[in-house]
Amino acid sequence: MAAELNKRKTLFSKGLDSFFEGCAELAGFTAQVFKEGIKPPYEFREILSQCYEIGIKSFILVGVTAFILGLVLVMQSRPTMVEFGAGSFLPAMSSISIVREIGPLVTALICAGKIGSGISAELGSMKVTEQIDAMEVSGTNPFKYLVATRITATTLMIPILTVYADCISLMGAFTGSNIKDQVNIHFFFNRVFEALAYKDIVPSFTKTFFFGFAIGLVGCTKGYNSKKGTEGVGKAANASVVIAMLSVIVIDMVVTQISSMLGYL
Amino acid sequence: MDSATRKNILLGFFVTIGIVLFIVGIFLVGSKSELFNKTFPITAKFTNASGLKTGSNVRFNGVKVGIVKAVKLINDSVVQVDMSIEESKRSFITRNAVASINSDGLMGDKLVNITTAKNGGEPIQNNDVIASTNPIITDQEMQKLSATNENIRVISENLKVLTTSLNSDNGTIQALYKDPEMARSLKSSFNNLNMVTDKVLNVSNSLQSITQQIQKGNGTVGKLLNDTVLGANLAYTLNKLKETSDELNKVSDQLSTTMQHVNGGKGTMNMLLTDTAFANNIQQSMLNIKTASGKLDQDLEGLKHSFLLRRYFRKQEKKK
Amino acid sequence: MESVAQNIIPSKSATGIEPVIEILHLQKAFGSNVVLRDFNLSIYPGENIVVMGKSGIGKTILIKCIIGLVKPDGGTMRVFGQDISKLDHRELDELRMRIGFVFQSSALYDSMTVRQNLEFPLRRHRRKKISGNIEDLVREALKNVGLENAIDLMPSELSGGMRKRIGIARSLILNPEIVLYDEPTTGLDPITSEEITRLIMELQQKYKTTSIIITHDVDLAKETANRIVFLSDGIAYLQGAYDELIKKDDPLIKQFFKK
Repeated sequence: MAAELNKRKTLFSKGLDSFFEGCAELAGFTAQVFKEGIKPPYEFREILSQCYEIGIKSFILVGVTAFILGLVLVMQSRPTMVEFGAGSFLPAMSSISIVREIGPLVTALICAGKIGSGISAELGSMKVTEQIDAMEVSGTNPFKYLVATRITATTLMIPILTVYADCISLMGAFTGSNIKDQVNIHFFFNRVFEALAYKDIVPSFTKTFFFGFAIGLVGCTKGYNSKKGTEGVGKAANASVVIAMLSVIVIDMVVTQISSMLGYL
Repeated sequence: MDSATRKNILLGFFVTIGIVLFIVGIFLVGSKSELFNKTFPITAKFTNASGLKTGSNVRFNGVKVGIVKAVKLINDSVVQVDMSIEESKRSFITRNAVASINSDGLMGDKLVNITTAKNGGEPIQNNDVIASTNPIITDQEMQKLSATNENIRVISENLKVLTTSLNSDNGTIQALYKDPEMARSLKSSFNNLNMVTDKVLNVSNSLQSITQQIQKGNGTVGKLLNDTVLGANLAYTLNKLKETSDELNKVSDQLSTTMQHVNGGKGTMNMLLTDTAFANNIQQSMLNIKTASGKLDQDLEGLKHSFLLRRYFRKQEKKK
Repeated sequence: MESVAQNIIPSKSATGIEPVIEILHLQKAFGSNVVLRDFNLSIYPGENIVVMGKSGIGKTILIKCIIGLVKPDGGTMRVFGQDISKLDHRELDELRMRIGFVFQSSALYDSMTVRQNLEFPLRRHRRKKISGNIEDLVREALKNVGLENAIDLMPSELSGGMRKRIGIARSLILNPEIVLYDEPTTGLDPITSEEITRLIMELQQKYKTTSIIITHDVDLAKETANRIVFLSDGIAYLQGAYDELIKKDDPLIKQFFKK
């Protein structure tokens, strides 16, 4: 039986095999992150510097995207809403869609692209040029110093970026509703906050932590395990973006289902 | 300043602003959901929650005072709605306030609206169960009915004055004979009377259908029993109706006296008699009044026997 | 070939000095590719060992096993008398403070300046009592490799030879007793290679270190080695001083020393 299995080139098929291999890699890495990362000492200085890299350096990109999406959301839905005589519902509609979905998802997807690929390219090239080995030799646990810090930083920064994205996106929505109409800012934000309830904020804020964790985890896994050579680094960065985005969307779906089960919808 | 310090300051600034924004947002949303306000619970029972949800708004005379905490089914026809009301609004709400379910705006978010009772009352206590009206048809009909009754009462009052003056000896007939204005007024009065009797007919019809509904079965009775306001309304209406029919009786008595007078008069009533249309009118009116009062009698009889209102009528009799 | 191969089992030297590094029956395989089959080697204090062999034969794996970066599949390794495989994290860190490792690709941290690169091992080995302040140690290390004015440059601004020198300076900053060089001259032009060779010699004399140098640069081997070990087929195929080996009539050695 075992010999028969050994003879076969692949277990299922080439694609499925590499998929399951990737899953095992990710699971093993997650276990190691918890095993190594939770024990003190913590690399606070490095966490701060990673927070800076991840939080502040993504701010402008996230902000611009969020603003434009808020603006476009209002401009696109305005004609239909007005047709139904529901033009006054634009602030409420945009606040709910921005806070519940657009803000967290856009932030996470952009960061999956920017931060996820950045982390895996950085770790990948550090691995290839033996910098990770050099760190280990210098009395530093690279898992703590490189991986745990980055995952902590993404887990902490994505929620904060999301708060900014929500606010900026609402400003965009306000601008959008002022293009064809005169809307008082006080009125607009009154309606925005009137429409929101804790059941809108709690699940959407909670899920951003999971988004951040997933982005950091995937980026680190792919970078840390990247194959030798520059091609390996490129592939790792590419795979990390794809997997991070996909996992963000899957988490979004799962969180939505769970929050509806808990009565948050 | 070295770059590490500058980065840390920037990061601190970024994080602080982010957290401040978040907290401000939480408070802005919270100012609506009363997370940070003291609240007290009250309850109302409805036959139909019609889409009310946990978190729906509670308004007092149109001003937001709280939210719905829970919507529970008590049995097959009663829904209990628990509400939490801002402590600061307690003094405005009395124990006899009335809760109803309305929809808000275009998209029809359901909300509970509490309205003040007419004549004051003691302030509400925690866990009080306040009265409720149901957004069902009988309720609306009852309100319409009492309005109509009011109208009838006014008109019949007018008629009474008119007929009294007709009957009196101080030369009113002569005045009637001489004054075409007076004749016209009389004519229009009869027209009015006609209209009134029509209305009374309608009213008694709808009243009849209500009593039928009441008598129909347990479910409906249960509904009415829970709906305390409806009961009160009904009693009020019946009272009014009775007054009205009494009044109508008087009117018709007086009218018949008038007719005798007219019949007994010499020539003075020629004008009236030659006007066949007018005569027909009078005849019709009399007929209507007769039918109407007959029906009213029936209705009242029916109501007397209805399970629900038996106690009320018994009380009335005792008073006599 | 097998008949010619001598597998020298190390023993205590005649003078009774304990070896600083003792490798016994070391095995390491990656999947079906056996890299080290049964490697034995003893290194005594003050020795300069050069390990030669074809590319991809497992020389780098050998020294990475010594410092605990790669876990061997079998065999024992004693460094300063301690069995590497039985050490926990902290003990391994303490051991690593006494060993310098010069990486093939220099492994300078791209995100840090030269100064931060050199400070890194000093700051990270917290338990080590550092004599003198960090700034002085950094300056001295840079002076040793003749690159004092590169202190605030980024690694990306340095040439290959400079990177190598900084890498060596970083490895030596903790004053290690053993230094492991992984192909220190590979990828450098002959002049720079010679400079690096001279630098290694100087530093060895200055700090009296024991060293293992992995290379296939014959000039470097000739200059620095007390003993040359040939690694082939997963075992220590041949060893001896340069002068002894060059006289041997072995096809593999002939190939290496052709020129």
